[in-house]
Formats: sequence, C-alpha cells, structure tokens
Amino acid sequence: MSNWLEIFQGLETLLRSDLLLACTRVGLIALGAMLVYMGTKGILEPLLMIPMGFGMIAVNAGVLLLAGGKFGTLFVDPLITEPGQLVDIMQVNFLQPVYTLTFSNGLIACLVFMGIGSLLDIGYVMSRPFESMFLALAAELGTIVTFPVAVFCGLSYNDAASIAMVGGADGPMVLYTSLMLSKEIFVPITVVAYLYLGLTYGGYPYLIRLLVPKKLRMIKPVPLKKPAKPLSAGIKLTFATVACALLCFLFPVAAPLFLSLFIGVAVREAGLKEFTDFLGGPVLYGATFFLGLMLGVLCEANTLLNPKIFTLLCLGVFSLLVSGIGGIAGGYALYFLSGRKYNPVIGLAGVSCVPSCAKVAQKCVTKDDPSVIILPQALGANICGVITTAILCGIYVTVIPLMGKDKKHESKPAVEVKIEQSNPPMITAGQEIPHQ
Amino acid sequence: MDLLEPVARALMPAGSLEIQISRKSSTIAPMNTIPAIYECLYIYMLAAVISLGIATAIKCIAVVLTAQNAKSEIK
Repeated sequence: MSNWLEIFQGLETLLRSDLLLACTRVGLIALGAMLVYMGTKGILEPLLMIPMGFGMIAVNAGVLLLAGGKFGTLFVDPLITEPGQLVDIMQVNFLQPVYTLTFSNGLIACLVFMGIGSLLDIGYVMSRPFESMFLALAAELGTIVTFPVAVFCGLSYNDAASIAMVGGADGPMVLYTSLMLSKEIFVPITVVAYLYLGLTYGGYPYLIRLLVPKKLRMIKPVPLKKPAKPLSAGIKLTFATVACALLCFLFPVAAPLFLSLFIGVAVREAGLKEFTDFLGGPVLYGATFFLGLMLGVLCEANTLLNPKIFTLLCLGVFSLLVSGIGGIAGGYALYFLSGRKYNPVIGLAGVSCVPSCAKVAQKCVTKDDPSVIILPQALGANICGVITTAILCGIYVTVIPLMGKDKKHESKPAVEVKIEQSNPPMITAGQEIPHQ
Repeated sequence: MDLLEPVARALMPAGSLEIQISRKSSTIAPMNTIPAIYECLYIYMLAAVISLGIATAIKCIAVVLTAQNAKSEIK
C-alpha cells in the first residue's frame, strides 16, 4: 500500500480538499455534534435535531473518492435531475429514493402537515376567530417585510419569497415554497429555516422579556362574556371542509398543503380514531424523522458553500425576529383595544410554529405567575398562524411567478413584453386542445 | 404593475391586440426594492382579506350550526 490514507478515504478527502472546504466539513461535523447535544438536553427540538445532527456528522465525515477522482458520498445527490442518472444513482445512494420520491416533490412536507392537522383542535380558533386571526396576521410581519429586504440584498423575487417564508416559522411551508419557487437553492433555504426553527424555542423567551414588562406578562386573560358551549365535531368538520374547498379554489398551486392540513383536521373531527392515531403517530413521527435525517445529509459542505448562504442566514434570523416582534405588537394592539386587559405575550403565539410558540408563551408567563393560563388563547393564535402561513405560501407561490420579475440576471436595460394575438380560434367543450 | 399583465391577457378581446409593457432598467437588484415593497403590501392585504374572510366564515358556521343544534334540542 503506497499511501495508508487510501484505506481511510474520509481522512484522505479531508486532507486533499482545499482549506475552505476542509474547514467547512470540520465545522459542520462540530455543528452536527452540537445539535445532537442541544437536542438531547432539550434546548432545541430533539425530534428534529438529533436525526439532523447525525446526518450532518455522517455526510461530512463520510466523503470518499468516486469514479473519476471526484469527491462524493453514498447518501444523496440533490443536484441530479436527469432521469437516467437518477435511476442509476437511486441504486447507489441509500437515501436517494427517500429524497427523490418524498422530499423533492414536497410529499414529506404534506405528510408532516397531515400529522399536524390530526393534532389540531380548531375549537380554540372557533371560540375566538377574529382575535386569533388578527394575532396570526400580525405575526406574519416577518414574512412580508423580509421580501423587499431580500430583494434589496440582491435576491431574485423567487428566492426572496422563499426566504421570507421563514418568518412564518413553519418548516414544511418553507420547504414547499422553496421547492416551488427556488429549486436551485431550496436546500440551503430549508436547512436555514429548520436550524432557526430550533432556535425559536431558545430565542423567543428573551424577546418576550425584552419587549413585555413583567407587569403586563402577569395579566390574566378575561374569560368570554358568554361561556361558550363546546363546539360539536360536525361544526368543526364543516369548517374544515369549507376552508379546504375555498383555499384550494383560490390557490390550486398550494392545494396539496391545504388538503393535507384539513384532511388531518377532518379525520380527527370525524372520529376516525384509527386514522387519527395513524396520522398523528407513524405518519407524523416517521416523516419528521426522515425530514430531519434528510436535512442533515443535505448539509454537505459542497452544497452549503453557496455564495448566497450568508445572505440567507441573515435574512432567516431577521425574518423570524420581525415575525416575533409583529406578534407581540399585535398582542399590544389587543391590549390597548381591550382596555389594558389583554396579555400581550399571547401575540407571540401567532407565529405558527405549532405548538412550540404557544408553549413558549405559556412558559414565559408561568415563570412570572404560575396562576396565569394563556394556553387556550395562545393555541388559537398558533393554529391561525398555520392557516395564515398556508395562505401566504399559496399567495407567494401563485403571485410571484405571475409578477414575472425574476429577471435579475437580465442584461438588457429595458424589458419589452410584446403579446400579439390575431383572431384566436374558439375552442369548444369536448374539442381537443392542440399542443403548442 | 406586472400583476396587471395576466389580467390583460385574460381579458384580451378576440381581435388582434398588442400590449407593450416597458419597464425601466431592473438590472440592479436594489432598483427592484420599491416595486417589491408595493407588491409585498399587496400580498399582505390579500392575505389579510382572505384570513379575515375565513374568520368570518368560522363565526358564521359556528353561529348557524350552533343555533340549528339548539333548535333541534328544543324540538
């Protein structure tokens, strides 16, 4: 053996690669280990962070020399799109089938959404619909404000909309939007989104303490004037059906997401216990496990050494921060409108990270006064947050391509759109539409 | 605004029609920022209208169905 390093290819590829790549690989291995540690300690969401951390460690350590002297791994190659190559690579990379058949078409996001839907009790929303929806809209401030900021930073409209969705704090939604709008950089966007979603759990309590004084955090929620009767399952089922149909009509591009969310709700309210257990158990946890693992193995140094990554990192944290501030501002608006009887902390739960944000809001309040229970209101705002984020996802995915502004790379000083039409043929029902 | 372009396409009469839309230079990203602000406001308003519409629908469904339930209970 001329070179002992040839036996240990992970080390060989590390030593033979250029300094930046080698440092990034080592850094990502360390970051993976940190995610596992923080997940185990409960600082970050363990269900996502432990598989993600392990994936990051393995993919950055397990780089080997492939045919032609290229560096690669046996996990997944997200950049292959040519069908023939894809069939070949699916027989080599062990996670490629999961990536190709569930991740890159958004199925895994939809599966997570079905699980979330089956766990949501929309009774919280239905008892205070306007209040909850107002808070959810306020907490979408980051999703809106980040869009022009990202355009200012030089991102195209599609990329700007994808990174702006991080403000919705809903992982599957970011994944879905970036898959639809920015296929080339959806990996870094999704990774950034999920990393930050883990951080919301640790970061938002500081934001609450910074923006809401202790006196206001201890305000007890005012009970409803008329104690509401528990809503029947039929009412909730009717709402799920109407909302699903309406949103699918409005935004067919995001129809898979709406269907996934509301079918989960419908299954729960229809009393189909077997399906509810299936969606809320194996489907949700199985999808979350593979989502975390896949995100981890996609954190390969080569993929993440994208020149846009720093901008995406900054915009992601900006987006979440502004959404948190917007939510609390919404809480303050209700505080003043209610004659200073509303706890502004509930506003933060409008950020749609279900149920983390509602739990964070309740935890912060409990620390100051254990007798204050804001969880029902917070859950209502939280569930509305999911609905508003889905609506914004639908709007972005539908409207951004219509804007036709994704022309950052154009070199012409002026763009002329010329549409000419002369007596188009009438197409009647049943007639075959000719292929263009 | 470019949003009008698909509307114009949809409303185009059967006869020949020519639409010319000229835009000023959009090669430098920050030049797009002002239109992006308008467009994000438009998107937010659209989201707000739909969300509040859904909230109204929730309220209506809850009120109507609860009243129906109460009626049938009395009967």
